[in-house]
Amino acid sequence: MPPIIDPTKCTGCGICVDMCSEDVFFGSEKGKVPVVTYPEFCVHFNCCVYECPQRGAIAVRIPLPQMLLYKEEGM
Amino acid sequence: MVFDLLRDTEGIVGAVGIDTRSDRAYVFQAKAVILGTGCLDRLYPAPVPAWMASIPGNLTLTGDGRAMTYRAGGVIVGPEVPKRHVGPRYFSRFGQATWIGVLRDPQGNPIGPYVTKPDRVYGDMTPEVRGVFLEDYMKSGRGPVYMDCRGISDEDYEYMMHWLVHEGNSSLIDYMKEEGIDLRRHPVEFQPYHIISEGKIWINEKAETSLRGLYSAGDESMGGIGPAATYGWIAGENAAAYARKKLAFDVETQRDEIEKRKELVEEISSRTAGPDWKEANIALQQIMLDYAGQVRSETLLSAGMTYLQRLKEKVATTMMARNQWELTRCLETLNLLDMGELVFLAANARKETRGLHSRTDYPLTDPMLDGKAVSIKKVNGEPIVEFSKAE
Repeated sequence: MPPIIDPTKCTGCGICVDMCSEDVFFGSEKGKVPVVTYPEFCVHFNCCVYECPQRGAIAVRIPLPQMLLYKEEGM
Repeated sequence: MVFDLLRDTEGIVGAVGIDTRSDRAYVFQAKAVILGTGCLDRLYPAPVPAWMASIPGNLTLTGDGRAMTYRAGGVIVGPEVPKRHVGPRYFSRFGQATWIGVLRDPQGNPIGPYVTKPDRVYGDMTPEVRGVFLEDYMKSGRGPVYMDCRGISDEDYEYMMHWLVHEGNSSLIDYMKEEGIDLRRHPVEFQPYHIISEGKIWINEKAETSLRGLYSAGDESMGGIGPAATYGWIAGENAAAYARKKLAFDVETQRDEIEKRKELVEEISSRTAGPDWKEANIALQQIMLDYAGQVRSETLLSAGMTYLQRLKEKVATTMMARNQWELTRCLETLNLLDMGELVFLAANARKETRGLHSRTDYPLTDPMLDGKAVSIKKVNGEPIVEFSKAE
C-alpha cells in the first residue's frame, strides 16, 4: 500500500505529514516515523517523495489495480 | 475544513468549520468570503470503481464551495454537463494534451483522422474532440486503444517527459522507469476516465457570486489554471474593496444557524454505529452512474432523484465518524449529496442531447438552447431551476 516509509532513514520531521493533500498520515506524531493511516486515499502525487529531506526515506508504491497496461515491442 | 457559510439579510457574514485534528468547531466572522475549493470529484465511481483513489485529481476536492454556495442561496450553473478526461488506463493522470503520440487501434491504425505520426504541435486531438470515442472502440470489440509515441524525436520526447511531470505525472514516470516501460518503444493503453460534473458557481467579471460578500476563484467557478490564477487576484481585490465599505456587524446574530451546524457535527461524531463516509459515498456514486450517468432519460432521472433523496435522509440520520479525518470526509460526502441532487435537477431540465449529456428521450440537440445554461438556486428551501444566458 502506498506510501512506504523506510524507518531506518526517516527522521520523523513530519514534512510529508504536512504536505499530503489527502492527509493519509492522519494521527502521526511529530518526531516519530509517520503512520500511513489511510493508504487507500493516496492519489500518488509524489508530494511526500519530493519534499522529504532524506533521500530514499519515503516512496510511493503504485497499487496493482492501477498497473499500467502497455504493448511489448514487436506486438 | 470550512463546511458552511453564514449569511444575514444583506449577504455573507462568515463561515463555520471544524478542526481536522481536534474536536473543535470554528466560527469565522468575515465581511467578505472568498471560495477556492477546486474541482468536484468523488460524485461518480472512479476509473477503477473498487479503488476510489484511481482518479487523476484530489479525493478531497468534493465541490464544497459549490455546495456551500447553493445552501446559502447562491446560483450554481450547469451541473448537468458531464466532462471526461482521457489518459493511461487505470493509472489515471491529467495532461492528455501533453502526450506526443498517435492513438492507434490494436492493428496500428490511427483511430482519428488528425495525425498519423507523433506531432509536438498538434498531439493527437482525437480525445479533445470526443473522448468517449475510445470507449466506443472497447464496447464494439475493436479496442484497446493505445497512445503510441513510437517515432517521436529525441527533442520532443524530452519536451513531453518534462511537461508530463508538471502535469502531475511524476509517479507515472517513476513507475515506468521501475517497470522498464519506455514510451519510445511501448504503446500505452488509454481510456476515458469517470464522469466529472462541470457545474460551477456563477460569478461576474469581478469574481462576485450572486450573494453579496461572497467571491469565488478557480475550478469551482471557471475551468483551467490560467483563469484560476488570474481570478484569485481579481477575487481578492474586489473582496477587499467590498469589505472596506461594509459596516461593522456581529456574526452572533446568526447564533441559531451556528448551533445547527454544531449539532450536525456533534451528531455525526457521537454515533457509535452506522455507515461511515465511504459507505455513503459509494451508495451515492452508484446512483449517480446508473441514473444520471452516460444514459439519461426522464424515467431514469426521476427514479434516481427519489433514490438519492432516500439516501440523503438515511445518511443524515445514521452516518458516523470515528475521528476528525472521517468527520471531514463525512462533511464532504454531505456536500456531494447536495451536488448530486443538483445534477439530477439540471439534467432533467435540459430536455435535449448536448455533448456528453445524452438523453435517450430527447436524442437531438435543441438549437433554442444554444448559448443557454441551466442555473439553480435555493429559494425558501426549494430549488429554482431555469435557463439563463451562458457566460
